Amino acid sequence: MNLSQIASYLKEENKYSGQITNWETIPEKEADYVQFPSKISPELKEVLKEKGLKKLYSHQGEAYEIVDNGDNLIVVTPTASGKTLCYNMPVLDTILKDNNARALYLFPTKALSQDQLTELYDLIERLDEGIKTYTYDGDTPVNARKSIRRAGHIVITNPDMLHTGILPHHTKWIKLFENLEYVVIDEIHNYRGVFGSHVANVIRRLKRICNFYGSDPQFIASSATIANPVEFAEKMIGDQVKLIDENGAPQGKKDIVFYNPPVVNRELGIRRSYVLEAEKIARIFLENDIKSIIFARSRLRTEILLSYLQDKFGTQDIRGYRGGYLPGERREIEKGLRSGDITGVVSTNALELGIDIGQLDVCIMAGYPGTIASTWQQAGRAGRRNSRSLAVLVASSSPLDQYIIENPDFFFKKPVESALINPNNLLILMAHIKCAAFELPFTDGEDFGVETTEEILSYLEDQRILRHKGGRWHWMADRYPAEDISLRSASSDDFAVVDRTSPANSRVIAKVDHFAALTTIHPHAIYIHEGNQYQVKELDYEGKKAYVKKVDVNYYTDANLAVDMRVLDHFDKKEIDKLEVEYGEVVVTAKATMFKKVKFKTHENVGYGDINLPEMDMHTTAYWFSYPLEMIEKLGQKGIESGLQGVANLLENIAPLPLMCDPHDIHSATQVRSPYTAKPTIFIYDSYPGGLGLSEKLYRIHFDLLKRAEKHLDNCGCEDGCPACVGPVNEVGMDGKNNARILIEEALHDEAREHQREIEKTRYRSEIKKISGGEE
Amino acid sequence: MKKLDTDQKSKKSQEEKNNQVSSSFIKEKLAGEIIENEGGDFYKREVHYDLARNHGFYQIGEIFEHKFTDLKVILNKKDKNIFKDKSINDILNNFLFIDTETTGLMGGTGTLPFMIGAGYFKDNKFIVRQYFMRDYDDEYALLLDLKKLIKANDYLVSFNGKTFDLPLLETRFVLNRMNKPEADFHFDLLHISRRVWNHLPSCSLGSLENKILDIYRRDDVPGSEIPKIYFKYLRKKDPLLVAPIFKHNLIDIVSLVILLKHLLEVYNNTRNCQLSANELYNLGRHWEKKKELKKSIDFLEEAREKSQKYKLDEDIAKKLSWQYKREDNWEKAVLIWDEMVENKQGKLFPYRELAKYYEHQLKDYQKAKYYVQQALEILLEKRVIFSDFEEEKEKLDHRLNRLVKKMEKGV
Repeated sequence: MNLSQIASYLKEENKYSGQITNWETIPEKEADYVQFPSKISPELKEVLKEKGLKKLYSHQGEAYEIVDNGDNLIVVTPTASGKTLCYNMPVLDTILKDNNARALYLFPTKALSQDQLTELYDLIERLDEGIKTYTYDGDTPVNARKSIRRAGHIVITNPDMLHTGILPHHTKWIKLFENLEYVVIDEIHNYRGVFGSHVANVIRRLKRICNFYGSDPQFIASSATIANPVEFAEKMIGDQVKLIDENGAPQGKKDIVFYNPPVVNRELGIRRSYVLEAEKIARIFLENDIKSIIFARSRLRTEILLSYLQDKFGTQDIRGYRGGYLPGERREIEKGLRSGDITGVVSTNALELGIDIGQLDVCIMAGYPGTIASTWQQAGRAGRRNSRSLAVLVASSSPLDQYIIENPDFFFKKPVESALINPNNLLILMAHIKCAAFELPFTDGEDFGVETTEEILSYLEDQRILRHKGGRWHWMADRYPAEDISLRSASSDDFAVVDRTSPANSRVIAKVDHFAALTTIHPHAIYIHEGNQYQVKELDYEGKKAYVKKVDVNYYTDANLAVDMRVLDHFDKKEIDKLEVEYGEVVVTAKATMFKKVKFKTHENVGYGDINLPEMDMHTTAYWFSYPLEMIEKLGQKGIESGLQGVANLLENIAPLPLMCDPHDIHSATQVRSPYTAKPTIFIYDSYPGGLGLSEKLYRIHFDLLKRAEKHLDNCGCEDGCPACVGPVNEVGMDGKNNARILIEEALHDEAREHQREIEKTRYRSEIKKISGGEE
Repeated sequence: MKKLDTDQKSKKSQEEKNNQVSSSFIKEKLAGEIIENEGGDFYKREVHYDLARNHGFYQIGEIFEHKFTDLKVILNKKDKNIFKDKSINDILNNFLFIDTETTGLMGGTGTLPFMIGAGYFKDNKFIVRQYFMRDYDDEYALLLDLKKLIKANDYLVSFNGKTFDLPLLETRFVLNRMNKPEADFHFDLLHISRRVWNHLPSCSLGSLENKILDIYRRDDVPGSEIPKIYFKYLRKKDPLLVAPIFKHNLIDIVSLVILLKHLLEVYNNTRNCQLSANELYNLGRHWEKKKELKKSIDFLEEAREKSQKYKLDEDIAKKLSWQYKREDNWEKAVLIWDEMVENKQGKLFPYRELAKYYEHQLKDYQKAKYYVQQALEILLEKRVIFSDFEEEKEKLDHRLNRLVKKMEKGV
């Protein structure tokens, strides 16, 4: 059977069609061409023509014009749309016209930068004008580094290397900084949350140093589809940014299929294994020799799928792919796909980014990749420019997956995911101000992101880290600040998880921030890392180390966190009918009390234990809303407690979606009679000191959020409550679901609903044109 | 490099200048002076030494006893012409001995060399100029002066300066928007010292002072304390706090002269130096690397005479025998190998070498076979001590087979 025939087969055959909850066909799209820009250097034009490009796609041409105009740019078009040419072209063009010009390319990780650069290397080779590129990362041999600094036109690196290797030693990079024309940031949407907040500050430091050497580079970024590309990029870069989001590349017809494995245990709501279902579907395509890629969510699952499929099809035809593979191995697999020797690839998210291996026709995602943007990127791995392709999303039973499956409009309509960062989170900001002061003394009146810079500098002087003299703030310590600062943690308070399964070879396998540590690595906790189970044997609280040993058990642990919430200040407030909605600064006092052992699949309670860890205080941001006192009368004491908890759990479950964050990044707390509001109140807070802007975002989309919560509640197949919606019955009570529903309805009172509807209408009209093929 | 602009000049108000009580205090206590130039003002202090003054084994001025060819000996081939045809006086009077004291060893743009010691010969004296940053805003003016000093001298001498001090100074110039200073040549005595003394547990300047140069410091401030002391001084502005650092830096500079002098002795007047077996062996290896066969053999032979330690003996014997081989001096090489066999030195080494010699040089396959068999016997008997047992056995078997075949072919 060919692809079209299989598509029909799936739609008709009962055992599949019954589980298909949504089938969206995106029609094919023709290319939108423009001529080469008149200003482009003739050598570059020749080389592009040599490669087979007679004309450019509209977005590529537009990119050239915008950059030529001196503006910063963010390009949001799908994979395989020739997005990289949007930055390679202007960069090479400038270097050809001015041999002194320099560019800096930033990639999220070392491993993947090599893949993205094939096009660049190819163009440079063909141009044969002596343009040099060098990758400067942890793997660069020390003696190569000196020559890179002097000669490389294009320096390729990652944020971590920029942070510790380049910026604190900028005097060794004079040539680069004096002549820096462009900074290219690839896949910029990856820099969100804590990591993104750090990177935004690294960019502030970069700009500061460029300023010292007299350069003022333009920023060119590429991104997956998010709701707020311009806002996000501007926050990241600290300057205005122009947007290109119209895709000029052609696309073949594309089917996106949502598949929900059947329920095998009604009472508990358990579904058949999604990994096995994914394998079953993959088999159909592979049997028919259709080139497919299967994405799995963890290394372990990748291995499982790989072994099942290799059992049936052999190890030559089906290959695995992980970020840990050497470049040589990856090249081999890519070659095999192109030549047809390999039919199927099983991969972790590592291959989501990477070079265009669009020789694949089918993409199967075992489990929701975590964000809509990632889903489109993975789906984008299948599909050539002129023929039909198909992507299948097989849902797992996790709440997020089920939500997506139930709400295809969330997925297909206007983008809802926002990439959020908070570069001015005080802890993060201060860490980078230290680094910046080390790099170049601050002068009086100089601002670093915030107007209160001088206050922070004074504080650091009090801490004896800086010295103010002669109108400047100098670094006054014998340490190297960047060394102690990890770009991926919110504070230096992290705990290390040390695997001591083999005592001779103990090593750190993960880092967990302090707040999360209370509930995830307490003694006896089951900690899951890359699909493997570990049990915490010992926790050295003072030393911030958790010692774990590999285990194989049939339960997971779930810890209770008793949280006390104190509001310090509110930044904004709105009243939606009878509800008061606010967001502001809070102090969360958290104490882990006890944990349960919960059996897989059945969710039975098979044991419990105490947790004896100290209380922890955390200053962060939160959003909260409170109900009128009548609700307590209406529902009764037990009822209001259960209802509040149910709504809180529900919101915790679905809020990560628009926030593009990890479920652990936010937490909820409820107060029947809140000291601050004196009313029943639900709080949602950022689980990082200083906050990341997550709860602020929720505050802004409050109404929308509750609407979705209501829908999710209605669609949930359980009777009285389950972990996927309001929480298990033994937590929220027999009437948990009902009580939660009453509270939500109260919050979505008719008048408010009407008002909101009007706002939505205007927003839709202005964005209607974006809903056409070309979405990622 | 961008032109310097006026904002680099230190912005000291008149009030601040009046408040520099500490500066005049320093003047008295440490006998320095405040210098003004187009960049502002800074503090420096100069200590003059008589050339007859002793420091360790030598007098400071003894270095002038050498010829410039003595200096060339410690250079690499490519640098042989840096002295052109100058006299030793001209050359040494253009040497600048440099050492810095910093706020940390981490490198990078936030590390400050708050004290820079620079020693030079002039008018029959050895003068050590110590630049000191009374505070951060002295730097620009200070660097201007330092630059002139570096320019006035052609050759820099330092200890680990290539990796640390010079790059650090260059960074400071860049940060102050000045072009980096250029010197014709840089002798980094750490690198040269390592060639001779890397058998010692430490090749730090302090260690060499004690073990080799007979220099002992009393109450010297430990290097690790220096940053803390400077920071404390910045807060309290009490110059007595930094007095020990001045002293430490001073001795560093003078020791550099003595170290250079000793190196010249070691390389050129070896016989007078009473070098240890280790030192001689190291020098033998150094000349081997430089492909100076004759020199290498000289040092190795002397090392062999002096050596009292078993392991060193073995190493020297091996190396010397190879040098003889390279020189085609088979007689002497064989002598060593025979001795090694007799003294049970070198494990399989002498047997292998003798086997090779008899096979390839004398074509005496019988004797060669004898030695291979001896080696195999030892190998099997003392199996435990050979970590590469399998490999060695394979090689010896292979050699034996080849010999047997050759013998069968009939000679």
